[in-house]
Amino acid sequence: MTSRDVVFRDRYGLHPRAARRIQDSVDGLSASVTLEDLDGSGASIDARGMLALISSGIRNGDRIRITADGADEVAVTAVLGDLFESGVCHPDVRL
Amino acid sequence: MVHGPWVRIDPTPVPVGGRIPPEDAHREIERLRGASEAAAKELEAIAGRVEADGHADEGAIFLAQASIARDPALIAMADGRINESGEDGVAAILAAAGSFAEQLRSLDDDLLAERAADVLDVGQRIARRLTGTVDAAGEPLDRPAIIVADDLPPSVTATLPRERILGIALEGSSPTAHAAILARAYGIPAVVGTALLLATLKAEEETKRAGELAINGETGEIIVDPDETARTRFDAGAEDERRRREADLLEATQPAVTLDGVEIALLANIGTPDESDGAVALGAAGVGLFRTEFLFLERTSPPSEVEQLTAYERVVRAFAPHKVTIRLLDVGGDKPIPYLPIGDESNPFLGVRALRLAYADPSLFVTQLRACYRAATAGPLKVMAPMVADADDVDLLLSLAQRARDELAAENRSMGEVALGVMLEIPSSILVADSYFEQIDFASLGTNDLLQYTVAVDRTNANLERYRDSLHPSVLRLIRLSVETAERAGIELSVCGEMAGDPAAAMALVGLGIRSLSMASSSLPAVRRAIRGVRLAYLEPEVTAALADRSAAAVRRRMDALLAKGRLPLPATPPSQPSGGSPSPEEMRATRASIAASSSEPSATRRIR
Repeated sequence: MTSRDVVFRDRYGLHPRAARRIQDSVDGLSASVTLEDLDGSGASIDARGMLALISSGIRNGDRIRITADGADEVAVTAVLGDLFESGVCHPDVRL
Repeated sequence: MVHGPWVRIDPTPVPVGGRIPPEDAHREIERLRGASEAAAKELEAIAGRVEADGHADEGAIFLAQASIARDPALIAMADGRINESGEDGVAAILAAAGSFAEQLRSLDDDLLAERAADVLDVGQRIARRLTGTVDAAGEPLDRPAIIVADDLPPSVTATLPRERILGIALEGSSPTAHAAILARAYGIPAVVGTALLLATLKAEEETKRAGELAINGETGEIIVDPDETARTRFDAGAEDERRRREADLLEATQPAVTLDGVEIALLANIGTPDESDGAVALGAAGVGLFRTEFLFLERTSPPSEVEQLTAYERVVRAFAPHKVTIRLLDVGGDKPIPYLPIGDESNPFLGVRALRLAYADPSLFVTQLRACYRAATAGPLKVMAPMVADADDVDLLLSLAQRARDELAAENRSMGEVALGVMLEIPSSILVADSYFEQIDFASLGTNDLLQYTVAVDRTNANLERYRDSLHPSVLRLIRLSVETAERAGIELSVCGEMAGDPAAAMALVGLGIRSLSMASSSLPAVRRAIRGVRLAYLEPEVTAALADRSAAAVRRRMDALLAKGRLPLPATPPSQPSGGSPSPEEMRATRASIAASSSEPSATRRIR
């Protein structure tokens, strides 16, 4: 099991297009992966579930704990962490 | 205006669910899997088409919908209902989608509430796959045609190939509906609210004479099976519209400078971020009035700071490096808002409205100002308060702004510079302007309310037509006083009422010393032409004389005479009424409609007067 805490950056929060991007980025990787919004509800959600992602209420600037479990768990946390910090679909964020 | 073949788009019916015996549950779950996958593939195909048309953002929405169709949580819930409640696949998927949609709505976030519609859309699509219902709305238009329907849901409007839509004619719907807004944005002629349209066309089909349809988006005129004369008339009208649009767009880049070299800033009034692109195309040098009520109306809780920030940033980015002027919330008892503490008032326009609400509860305005300061990091931003009566109100505005800045600073959020100003719409605010002008950066005359408060006439009372012209000498004198006070204090002054968009009245404003006019963007071309054809040296003495006129009608006659002398080019719109009343937009539409209806000439080429 690997965890990484990052800041979620996308000007519009976790909207459907961002969700689709998140799904695509872990497509082909096998580890299970959950996200916890440390600044939000704190509930643990499946990073591969579209409905879970778009109903997460994750906002620009929220701290997120990514937890992956499986053979390629390090790769999964790295890919998602970098995606979040780079601003997913709208990188022109200012906080 | 356009004529051509038409295609009817029928709403796809939502299948009705039923029940199945327990022994069929396994097979039903398999069927549901297949239907979900088919729906997802279909959505990906739509996404591909929309993206190929150059609309990547809209395409991504359908990709997200495809992901919803494959969502394990959605499928699992539907499976559970089939297994445990004996529902068939249709009933189960509709219920599961409904349940997720409800969950999204309950999160009290408007952006998520919109997603609820996506989830319902997907549930219905899967249900249609299960029953084998043909998705009529998904059929591509194979040739250019006028779309005919009762109403068009957003998902249908977004997927139609725009280059093949000649026009849109809807029996139901309203001018503010999604389809109508989209049509306007793309310059597609659209007519909505046409009673009996579908029945007439059905009869037409049965007689096997499926001919053409001709529609005029400006007047609402529709002709079923137009004859040669009508077709020629519509062709000429369409050509004229095209030329006018081209001329407007071409002229949009020309500076608004009088013949004697005085430059006038022309800005746009907008009510939603969607209007930004059109205004920029017509040459608006910024926004003089961004009404923010659209964010606050028709909902049960106020919009969040982030939601406001998103909307404001969109507009600021669209206009940068030009400035955008946001007007703080302007509502009162005439349009009750459930989450605002406005009691029953016998006279809401003289009641607790707009900035006055902040005395009881500042939080709403502090949140709005916080969003403004944050949005100002994206480009230049100005904020003005409506319903300011005197210096105390200005102090209130400044303290609200200070509080917003202090809060943001304490939270370590970055913010930009915001110029603070007031709307001049209550006569007292102008009479005592010298007591507070030096505290603020700018002022903007809201001439519609200024007229109503100066002559004590309810804007909505049709029996008081004779008082409805902003060219009333009393209003002109108040404007002159504002100009003088602003010059002494060294602050910027502009006009953002309807007056600025009426070429004759706009000339009076320029004559009074106003150098910045903000108007509906559709008025920009006519006002720009008027300014480019006028000499300030003629205007100033004429307007000074008008200050002593006995009535608005007298001033209007004076300005009309000035126009008629040929010193100003004749504006294409709007027609001014010699009787003295400045027609409201509704009345002008009605006038144009009746002219078009009673004349065989295309209305667009008719010059009134």
